[in-house]
Amino acid sequence: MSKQAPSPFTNHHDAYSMGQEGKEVWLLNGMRQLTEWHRERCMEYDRFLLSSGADNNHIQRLDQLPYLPTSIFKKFDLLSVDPEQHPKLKTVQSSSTSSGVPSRIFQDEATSYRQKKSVQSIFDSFLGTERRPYIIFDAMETARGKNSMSARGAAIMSLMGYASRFYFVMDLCDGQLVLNEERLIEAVEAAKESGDFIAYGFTYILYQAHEMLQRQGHSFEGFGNQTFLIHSGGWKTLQNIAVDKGSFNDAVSSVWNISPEQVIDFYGLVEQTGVIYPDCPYGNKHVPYYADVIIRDPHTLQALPTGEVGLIQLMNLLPLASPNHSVITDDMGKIVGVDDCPCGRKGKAFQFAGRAPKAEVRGCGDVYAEEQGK
Amino acid sequence: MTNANDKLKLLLTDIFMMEEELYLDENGPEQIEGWDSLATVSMAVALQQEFGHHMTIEEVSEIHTIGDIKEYLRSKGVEL
Repeated sequence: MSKQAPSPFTNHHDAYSMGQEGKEVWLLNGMRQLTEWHRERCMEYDRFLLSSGADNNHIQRLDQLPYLPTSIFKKFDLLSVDPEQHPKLKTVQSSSTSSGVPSRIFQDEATSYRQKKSVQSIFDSFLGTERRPYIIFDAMETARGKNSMSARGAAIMSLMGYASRFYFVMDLCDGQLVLNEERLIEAVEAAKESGDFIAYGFTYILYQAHEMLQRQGHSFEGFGNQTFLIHSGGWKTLQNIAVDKGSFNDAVSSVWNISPEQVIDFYGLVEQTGVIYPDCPYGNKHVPYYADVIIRDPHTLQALPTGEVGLIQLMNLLPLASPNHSVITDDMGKIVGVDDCPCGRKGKAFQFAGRAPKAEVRGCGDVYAEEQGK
Repeated sequence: MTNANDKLKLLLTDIFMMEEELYLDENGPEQIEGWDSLATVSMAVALQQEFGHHMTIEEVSEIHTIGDIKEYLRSKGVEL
């Protein structure tokens, strides 16, 4: 049994400093090792690969690596570590999807550390390294958890490394999130004193809160270009009420009198915890050097070339406790370029193109909205 | 007990919502009910505000007990 999992990090501090050609051989080698690591430790994963005929020894390209459908993590608890030897093993789970079953991914201490390093490396590239007041458009209960954490809680926690102080500005009242204006004003005062702040909320929650602030005539001023409002969780509910990304960014940024570019959407899923994909100012999502994205034809599952829309397959070198290192999602997207985005980030750039037509409502923010009867 | 230790004890009993008698070097999340992930972050932010040191991810991940917190502060020159 292989004793050591491949390290996901090189001495590159910048997640986007490695060009695609330079990273591919290194990443392929690491992904093959990691596949073997999970295969030796997770019997169900090994059986799945055997039944699908995957042969790790003959893989020459990243698009030949085996992948699991994300739906498998709803049906099975796939574990590559012995829980008795890892008493601090945690689970991260998505909100229940419309099927009512959440995905469950396990995290041991080493994976948790790798994920934190990765998220920091990605957010450093977008937010800088300064700590600022952190305004959270959610209730504190969402981020509490000893042995398990929701996707929303995990997203909130992922930005804590940038917080000089943090403020949960919503309360949970009878299952509904309600803006606590007193706490918001306190947070705004702290943010003004600092000059900049960061904020996070699930896409739909952030929109609801800002729609209300706008209706009440709130307009806050005096914030610099290191102020960022970050959101994630899914667009389907907002698309249903004809809110696109442009109007969303305008609505949110106008309350704070900042540029719409300072509102950042990021794509991520529980099955790839630790690797998130924020939009760059050119509307592209970038792949860090220890991860890759393959777009596949929804009918044949063949890898598609740049520019063609298909199912998004995501892979990364981080996870050690569950074999979620290579998964195919039911999200659609397209590669828009390689090493050539004007923002300067190297590697593949892609854009999200919605959910696959027959996919259930799954963005966690969409599930939240669905639960609220929207 | 030094002033800094008093300050730390007050801060941790507040953040971890724990009884004073649990303020023992060997105690960690297993013994202290209120020591969850959010409390860990609150602790890191509070230590920064109170003692002026930002904790890195590596430093936070090495904190498992109250004794580790003290050890971290001592390594930053805080007399406990």
